[in-house]
Amino acid sequence: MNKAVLSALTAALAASALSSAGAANVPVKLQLKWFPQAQFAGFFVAQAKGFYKAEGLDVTLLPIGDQSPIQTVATGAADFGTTWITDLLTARQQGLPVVHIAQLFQKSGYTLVALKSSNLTDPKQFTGKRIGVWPSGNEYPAVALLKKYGMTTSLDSTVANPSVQAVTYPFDPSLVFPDKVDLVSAMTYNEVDQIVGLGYSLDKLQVFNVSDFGINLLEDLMFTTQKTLDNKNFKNSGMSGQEVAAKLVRATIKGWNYAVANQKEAVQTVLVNCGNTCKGSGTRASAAGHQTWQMTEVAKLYRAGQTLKGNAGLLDRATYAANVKQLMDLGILKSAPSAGAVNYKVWEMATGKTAK
Amino acid sequence: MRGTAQPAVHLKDLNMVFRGAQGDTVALQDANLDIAQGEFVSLIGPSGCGKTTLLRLMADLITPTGGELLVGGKSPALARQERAYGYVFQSPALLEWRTVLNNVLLPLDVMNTPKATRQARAHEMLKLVGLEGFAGRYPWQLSGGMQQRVSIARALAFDPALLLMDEPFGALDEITREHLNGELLRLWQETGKTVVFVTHGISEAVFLSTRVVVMTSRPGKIEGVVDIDLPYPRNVETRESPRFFELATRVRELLRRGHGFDADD
Amino acid sequence: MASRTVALGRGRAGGLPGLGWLALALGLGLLLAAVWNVWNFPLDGVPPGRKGLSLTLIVLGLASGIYGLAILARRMTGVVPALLAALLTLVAVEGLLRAYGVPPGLIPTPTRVATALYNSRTVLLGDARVTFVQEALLGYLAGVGMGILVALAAVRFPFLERGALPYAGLFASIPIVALAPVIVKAFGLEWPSKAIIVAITVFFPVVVNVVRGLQSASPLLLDLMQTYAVTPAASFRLVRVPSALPFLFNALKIGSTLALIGAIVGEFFGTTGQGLGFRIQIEAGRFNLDIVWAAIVIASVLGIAFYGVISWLEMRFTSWHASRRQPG
Repeated sequence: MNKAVLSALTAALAASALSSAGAANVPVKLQLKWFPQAQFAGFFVAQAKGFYKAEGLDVTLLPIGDQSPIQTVATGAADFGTTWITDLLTARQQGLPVVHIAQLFQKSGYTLVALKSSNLTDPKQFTGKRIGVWPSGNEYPAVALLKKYGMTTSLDSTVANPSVQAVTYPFDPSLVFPDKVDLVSAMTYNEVDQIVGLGYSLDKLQVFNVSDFGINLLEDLMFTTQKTLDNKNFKNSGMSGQEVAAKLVRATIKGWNYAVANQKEAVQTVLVNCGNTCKGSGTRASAAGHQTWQMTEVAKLYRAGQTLKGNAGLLDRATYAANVKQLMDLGILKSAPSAGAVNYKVWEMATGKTAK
Repeated sequence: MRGTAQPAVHLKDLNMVFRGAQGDTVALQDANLDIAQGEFVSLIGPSGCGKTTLLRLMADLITPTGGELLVGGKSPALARQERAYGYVFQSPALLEWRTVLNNVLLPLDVMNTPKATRQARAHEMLKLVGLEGFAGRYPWQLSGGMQQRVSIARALAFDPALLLMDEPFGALDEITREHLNGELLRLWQETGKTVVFVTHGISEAVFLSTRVVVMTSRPGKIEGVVDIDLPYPRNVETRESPRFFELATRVRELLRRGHGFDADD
Repeated sequence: MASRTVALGRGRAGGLPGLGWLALALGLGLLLAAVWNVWNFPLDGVPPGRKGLSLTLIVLGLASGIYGLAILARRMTGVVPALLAALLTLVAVEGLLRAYGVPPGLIPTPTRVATALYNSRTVLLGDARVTFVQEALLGYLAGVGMGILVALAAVRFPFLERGALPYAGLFASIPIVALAPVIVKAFGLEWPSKAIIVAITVFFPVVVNVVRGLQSASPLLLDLMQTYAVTPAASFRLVRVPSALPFLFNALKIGSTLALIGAIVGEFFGTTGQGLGFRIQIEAGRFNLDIVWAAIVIASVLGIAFYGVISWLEMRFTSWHASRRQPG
């Protein structure tokens, strides 16, 4: 019954999309979390293959530096955005009414990288070491891992004698690694390859995937504001904000499925959109090479969890609950987020499935 | 004192040529002059006649390119080392970060005169120029005329025998200038210094001087010398006397002769 | 009897400021009422009626307060009117932010900032010590010292002035954000790299200004020294140095603002976990804008105090200079 209603609704949506194909598309601004790279391949593919257009959306993908995408979306400079779950939940805690609408990456790609020569094999040995982390809310996975092993960092403004010296720097690991820190944050799909490019091949590196140590704070998700979802007539399009969100999510998932299935083509699509921001470092400086690596790695993060169950884009309720508990244990969240933090309806509308 | 054998300033066939990118400029050509001790000699002439150049040569601020120059019987360089003269510039040239008193003390400080007498001497000089009540003021708190009087007090402070003055009252208004002319004449008579006074004011030159040296330009040279035989004391009546006009007219004629046009300023 | 008349007269004359105080107090009262009216509601839960009432109270309170302040400002000098104006503004902002339910993750209310300032005082003061004392002040002193030495050398050796000084002007215009990452990379993440950034930014204006200052000495004064037959060193000390002082203080004042900017911006490019710039960056990422604002308040107070001390020294040492002359 429910399914029938939804499919009817989907049909109606498709019809409205067709009918409005001649009319002007609805302009939608989507805030990425970094500069154009293959880590956003699904978005670029959806744009290039006309998946957004087919939904009647004219999507602009906005790049950003080391600020949080939350800021641009919460202030209305963008309509939707992609960010990490910790960023979203801490923002909500500070009163910013942002809402999770789809989970693209089902697994964390956050790692801490050390040189094998440092003989670090277990997080227990991190005491007294120096760890390079990115600020702006990107430090939480490292903080969570250390906390799990009973260590404190200088990032905590209440701790006088931290057991780990945290070092902040702007993203490029070569600024600090390996001369200034023992361990450095790296995403599997980006900085790990940059470190390889610095002349440390993978067999010389000890890579700690935080998800292997029970820290699986989810990363790239899609979000918008409660205000956008409540909007009955999104930018005078005649569609509600929720409808627009559903169309956007549907096209984006389609884009990601396509990108993951056709990685070479996806990389080419991304390369058209990026300038210097696609380059790697040192010996791995080639943009094409680095983005191919990136595509391979983000495909692993996308093809996990609910995606493997045929529910791409769905936020796994158990993982979410575990994330919330972990963040509360860490003291990063002071109370559990309200139910409004996650909106499953958008995903249900987009896919015609029921979010279990 | 006047007429002593050793002249205060002696120049013979003195030449000064400035070398420049646009060619050489003859600032002074074959100048001959003797200034006796205790004299008050004015150098008058239009701009570019070399009168300031001549003064700067006497002060050893520049070196002549030819001829003979003696200050107090010595080379200008030696005279300067022995602090034989005091120099008063066109503008008061006071150190604006020093009080009036400290400005007058400056030459005494740098010349290491006995510490005990410095203050007394400086106050005495300020009294001489009628500014004893302004010792603690800064230069900017004084009028232009008062500033120039401080500058004169400073030049007299270390008691040099010779006073070189380069248009000291040029920037002042007529009334202040005539007043300071009177003051300067009094100082000269009280101290008995030799004064070489650069000006382009005819009446100022005639009123103050024992002799007026008239200079002309292109090239700068001495056109003639007018002896001023006006009686002392000189005062307001002096300026209105027929003799004053005769002498002024002679100076003016000399200026005109050297120029071919009216060089009155 | 006579004294009584005087007292009465004074009372009448004081009627106007009395009215000013009254209007100001009324305005402040209305503003406080506006804040109290919407004090304890969730961000999206301010009842429209209360919001409307508070907005009305704020408009009336500001009108009355500004009227009162206008009367008082006519009779008062100094910082009191400015402080009262700041107080009115802060209370009004508090009321507006609460009435509209603005999330503290975007703009925290003044009371939240004050609370954060108090609660995090130990950490923030530690940050201030690193940023101000170690990075800004030490860097400043090093930059000024080096700048003066180089300026002296440039004036002493004209080939330096002609060959190197034009570059100083060029370097001085390099934006600090371009410089900071390079310096941090080269000199490490600890405070010395930031002190070096500060030193470099302070150095160039000092060199340029001191050279210009030493050369600004009046040629007449240099001639005067010549007539006294003093040594070049004495002439330098007596004429060139005092002439350069106003220029030096100009550079010192420019440098005092550059120093704090340099230290804070430098921290954005890598730190070992302390400093106001680090705190601003890390807490902005966590949406703890109240701590960010608290850090900004501390940075501002330090910056103003630093500038004030330099200005006081300038007044003390160059009161004779044309730009510092008191009227009368």
